[in-house]
Amino acid sequence: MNRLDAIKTAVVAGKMEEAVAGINAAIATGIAPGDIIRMGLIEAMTVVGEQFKSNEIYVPEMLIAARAMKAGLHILKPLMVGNEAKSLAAVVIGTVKGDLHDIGKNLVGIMMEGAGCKVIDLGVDIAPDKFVEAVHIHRPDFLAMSALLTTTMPVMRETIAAIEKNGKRSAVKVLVGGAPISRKFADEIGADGYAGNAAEAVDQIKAMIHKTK
Amino acid sequence: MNGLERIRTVLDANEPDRIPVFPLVHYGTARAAGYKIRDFSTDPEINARCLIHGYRQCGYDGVQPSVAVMVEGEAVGGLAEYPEDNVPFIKDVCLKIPDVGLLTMPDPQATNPMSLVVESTRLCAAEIGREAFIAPSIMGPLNSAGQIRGVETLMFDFFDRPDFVGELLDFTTELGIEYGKALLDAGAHGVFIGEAMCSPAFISPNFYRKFVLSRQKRLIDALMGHGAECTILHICADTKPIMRAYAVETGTTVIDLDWQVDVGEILNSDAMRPEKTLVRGNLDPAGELLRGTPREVLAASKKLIESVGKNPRFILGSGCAMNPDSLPANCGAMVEAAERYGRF
Repeated sequence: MNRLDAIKTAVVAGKMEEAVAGINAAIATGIAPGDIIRMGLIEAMTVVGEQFKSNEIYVPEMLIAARAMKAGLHILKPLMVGNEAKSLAAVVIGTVKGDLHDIGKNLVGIMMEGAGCKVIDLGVDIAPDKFVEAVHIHRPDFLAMSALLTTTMPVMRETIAAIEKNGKRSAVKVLVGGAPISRKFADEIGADGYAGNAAEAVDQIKAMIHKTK
Repeated sequence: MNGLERIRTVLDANEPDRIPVFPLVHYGTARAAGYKIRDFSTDPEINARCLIHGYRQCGYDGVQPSVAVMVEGEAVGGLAEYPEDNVPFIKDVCLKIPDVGLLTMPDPQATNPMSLVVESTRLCAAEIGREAFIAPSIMGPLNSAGQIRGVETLMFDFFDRPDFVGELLDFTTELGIEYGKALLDAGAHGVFIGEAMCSPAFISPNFYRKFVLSRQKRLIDALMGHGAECTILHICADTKPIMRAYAVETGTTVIDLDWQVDVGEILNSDAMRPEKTLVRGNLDPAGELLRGTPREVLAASKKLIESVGKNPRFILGSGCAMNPDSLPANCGAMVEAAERYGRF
């Protein structure tokens, strides 16, 4: 197994220490950080996403793979220069006001990061005006909102209206997700996309990028 | 028949006059009764008043005293926040160090918010306990552990320190037993057990079996041994991958299915043999119950009742927790559907 395959295998299995050791060894032998990210980490998270979609793994397994990937990115990101540092897309993500559930949101964020996106995570309990402010500041390609409660779902509609009111609606694609959210609800509130899980969220973003190219 | 008689009849495996209706609704009753969710969550008299108001206004067959999933987490020492009109939550968990020895078993009669739910149960039982089925909510072992340790941290603990997870689940099982007994002593007929985190949308069937199943069984056995007429075990989303363990091996009297599962298919599946377990289910609480009209709820309920057939092991329910905006009209439409289409 070559070094990059070993890193990929360690990340898929959620073995953080092995992944970090493999990355340090790869850097020492002169492998470009961008190649380690692409062929080690991104490919690993693609496998993780596929395994999640086919029910081979579940949220805990995905979380430990994500932890290993994050540890790897922490080492590699500062070493990225020039074109290597270019991301697939910028995504602002957050859980809506009144809702503190963050596992789903975190997984979506990490899977997007694992797919090569720049992710700006606003955290939980995010009011519409905070999302609007983040869209102004970061100029993301995508805004992703999460809600796990039926009582907080309406904040998604309010946020989209606030973005519209501020003249930024056409500048950003809005994705929504979370346990009570459905495609029908996403359509009703005027979102551009809906994802039932973290792996689907990445597929949605890739599809939308492909469509606009 | 009144609601209590109706639910007792199906628990005794007999045919009632019509299909019982027992939605998963607790804080969802607050708005229709003229209160904010914070009032409902912090005052036992208001809690009971809202539940009784919802029961009388909509005409369903039982009530479920509760606050939210955070009750056990706060009672053990977590810091909870109570938004004015939204569901309370644990803002800061209590068990930051993975050592179960740091936890103290709370007295449910004396520790808020468990004591609030115990008192609300007592009030509901005193006022409507001879006509309605009273089944207050507790959290199952895994849900409680998540509220005590933090859900994401607990997920890492599964891999990093599985022995600790086992010890924590033993603690939360005992916690559920003590809390459930206090609720039964306060006049509850049965106990609802929330275990959202056991969903195959979250943890694997292997983890469910390895870490949780035997503890759920221990909890259910203890509650039934203490005089519970039933336990209603709720696990969210599509539970088909764990159906046998969930519906039969836990020993629960009733499973409470979320909207993703076909109730008719489950009632007649091999996973349910011997055919003893009752099924409560399963409109979509974020779909027709929240965003539909009463006419749409009536139609969805009719379709569900027809797909199940006249089966005395079926209780019409809301899938998962109902939103305050679903009361009274959409919730009332469920009862109307049972009256119109669910007569035996």
